[in-house]
Amino acid sequence: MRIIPRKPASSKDQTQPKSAGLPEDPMPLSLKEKNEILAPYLDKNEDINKRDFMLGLELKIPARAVFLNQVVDKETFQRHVLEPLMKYPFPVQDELGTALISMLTGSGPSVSSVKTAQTLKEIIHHVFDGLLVVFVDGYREALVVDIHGGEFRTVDEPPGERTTRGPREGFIENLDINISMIRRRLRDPKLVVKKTMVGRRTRTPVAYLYIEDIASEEVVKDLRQRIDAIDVDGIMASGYLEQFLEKSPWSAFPQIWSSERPDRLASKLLEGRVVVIVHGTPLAFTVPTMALEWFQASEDYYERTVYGSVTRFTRFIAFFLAVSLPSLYIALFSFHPELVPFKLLLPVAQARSQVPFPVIIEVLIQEFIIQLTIESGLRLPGAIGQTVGVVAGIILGQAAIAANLASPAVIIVISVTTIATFVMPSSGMLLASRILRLPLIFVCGAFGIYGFSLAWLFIVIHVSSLEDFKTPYYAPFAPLRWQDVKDAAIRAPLWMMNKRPASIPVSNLTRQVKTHVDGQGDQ
Amino acid sequence: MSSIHQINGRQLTYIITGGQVGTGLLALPSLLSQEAGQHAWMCILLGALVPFINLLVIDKLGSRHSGLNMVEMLRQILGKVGGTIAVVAFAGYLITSITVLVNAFARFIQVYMLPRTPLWVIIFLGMICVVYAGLKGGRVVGRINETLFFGMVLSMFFIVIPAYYSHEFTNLLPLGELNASEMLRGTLLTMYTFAGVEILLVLYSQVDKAEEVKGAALRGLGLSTATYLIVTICCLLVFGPDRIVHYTWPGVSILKVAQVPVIERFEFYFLAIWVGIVLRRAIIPVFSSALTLAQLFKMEERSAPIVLAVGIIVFSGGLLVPSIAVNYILVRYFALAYLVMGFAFPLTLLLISWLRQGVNANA
Repeated sequence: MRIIPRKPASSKDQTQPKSAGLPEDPMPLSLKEKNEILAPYLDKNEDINKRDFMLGLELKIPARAVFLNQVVDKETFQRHVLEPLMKYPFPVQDELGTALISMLTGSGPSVSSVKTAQTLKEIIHHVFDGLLVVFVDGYREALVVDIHGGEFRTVDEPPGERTTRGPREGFIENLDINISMIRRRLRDPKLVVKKTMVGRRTRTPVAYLYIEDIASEEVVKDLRQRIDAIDVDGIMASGYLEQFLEKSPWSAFPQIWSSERPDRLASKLLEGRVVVIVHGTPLAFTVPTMALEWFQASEDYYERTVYGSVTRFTRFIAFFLAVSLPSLYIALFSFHPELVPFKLLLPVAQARSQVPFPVIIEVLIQEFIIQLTIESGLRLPGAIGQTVGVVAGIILGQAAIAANLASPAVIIVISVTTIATFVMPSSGMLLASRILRLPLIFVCGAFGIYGFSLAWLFIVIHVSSLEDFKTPYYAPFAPLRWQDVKDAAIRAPLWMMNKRPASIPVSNLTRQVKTHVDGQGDQ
Repeated sequence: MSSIHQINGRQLTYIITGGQVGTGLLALPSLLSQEAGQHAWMCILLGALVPFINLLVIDKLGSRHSGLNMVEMLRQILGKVGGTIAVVAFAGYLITSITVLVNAFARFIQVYMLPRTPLWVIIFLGMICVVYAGLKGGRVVGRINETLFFGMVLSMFFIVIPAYYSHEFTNLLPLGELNASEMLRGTLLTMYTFAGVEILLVLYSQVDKAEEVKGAALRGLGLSTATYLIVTICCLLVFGPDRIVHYTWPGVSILKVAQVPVIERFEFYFLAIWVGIVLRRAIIPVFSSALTLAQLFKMEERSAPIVLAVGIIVFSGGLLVPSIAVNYILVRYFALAYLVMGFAFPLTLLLISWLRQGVNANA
């Protein structure tokens, strides 16, 4: 198990990330000197706009606005910042600082926040964080205005988690928009949003959300400490952060659950989990995580109980097949053909007699081909990806049978395995099933059904040992929590789920009062 | 208390059951019928009395010395030297008893699944899982037992279904023709099967709520008694007392009785689950003995070398038993060993504790 370096949470402003070695000197009074000090940091970048102007209708003080191209909204800058600054009749020079802030705050709805910065380090960070910074001759403080703009992808249906019922809204790459999507679903004043930045150079905004009277304080504190302890130059996506947070990096099992759907994340918050959103990734992840979460889909809850339960149970079977079917096939036909019904054994054996490879090699070749197909299909554009799938699935399969390179049974086994793999509603466990399949094939190829049992026992021991944020990964199966089993292998009616999951630490276990199914209520 | 070894009451129930149900599931009906014929099932009920008393004794002992682990408790009762010797002897007993089980398990696998695979390979592979679980600590061992318990329940269905289709109630008759010596021999044999409850000596201090120990342990014993009873009665119902003695493993042979379309042979499914059940039976003593020795050497949090060493000893010991016939002879000796180390040992400790501190005093 990897030891994650921990250090106590600092009391500093949470939005201030680790410094990239910039000086913390105060700025000089003169604008010319300011420009000279800033020049080494700003002048080499051609995407930084520097707009000189004269402040005030009568005062005419030299000033300069600095901002990043396509990050600051230019129209807002011109209409709500530049124009007022140039045309406003500022009273006297002594009160200019206060007057500037109050004037800009009231200048228009597009200006979301105005503050001041004093040191070089602060100013440089604000510029590269995408804020507008205004320097005025004769004033040490710089004016920092948040008028973020630029182009973003519109909110769209999440491609990896489509649903037939329920909302069709998925996260995009903008942190604030993603937070707003959750806020719109959870209008609870107890929903807390904390922001920080990770990465010395990328300064990636990261937000963690929790409902303060439901989530465990210990979990929130632990998460904050772990995020604060990350001292890396860059975080490109949420996957980076997940890897820094998870405890068992060598495990085949995913340990941090993520989703593209704000509705799913909102329901996780209501269960007492903490949601983490990283700017630039159309995904959010939650902690603590249990293996069970990868078998739960939002449709399980939007559909009726019976349908939800059947599909949930189907996913467990699908996972078992995705991991085990090729290895079971090898175990049966290599070691224990006597266990196969005679009427089934005969045609399979006949077809196999034409194939020049042992069963394990035959399976491995087909498995390798299907993995290539999946990988190429993922990277190629939609239409071409589908074509590759058809070519690999039908044409290559038929050709392999015709050339006696594979028996029809193996094609069926691998096809069913692949279909079962993609039954998982989230990608984490899908990848785990692809990884686990291979060692099982080898073990069963060497030791038959004994190897199969041992491999599964090993998997059970392994998942039983995983634990993070005081939450056992394999719960509610081990340790057994009967209360949570009603939302495990099956999905009980929603009105029966009076308690939040007992397997994760929460500060308030009650989810709802006891309510009759007819909606009348008994209290 | 070490948190990585902490278990709860429910896990203790499943550990006690898991510590008792193993290879005996397959062989016991035959061994018992050799001694007691159609009365084999009665021997199970009688045999269960011994571990029942055993559990009560250990619970009394544990509650008198609450808050102490086994090593501390033995040293308090027997003194430092005496306690240390007793700890080593107890760990040695656990380790050697498990070698017999591992050998029987491997031989069975060899006969039924892998006839051309060397015995050492079969034992080695099994021990990888056993040691891996042991390395993870008591908390994980508890969780594994929770999962595998339901595997055991599932495997019971595979045995009950053939009995449902091919039973003959007269196989259990006549009742009451058993003499005392046959009953005693049968009961002694059963006792080895029930050996495993003595690990409560080690696990008592690891249970998070001491007041739950007695109930949890007795429930565990009840579950294992019911399991053995079901298997023995099912085998008797299908084969009868005369035919059953010709089978080495009637617990598997019974699975060949029922012909179910598509599934064809039940033993495939049963054995796939049974491997886990038996290795669970090995995991518990290996972990318990390693924990005891780790407590002795004050290495509770760094017990990996001890678990590995115990694993190597069990692996080597499992290879030393030359045949299944010798294994069965050893089983009878280990039934006696259980009486000494599993039953008499805690009883003696309790008596000494009483003598030293008085019956009602809490040590």
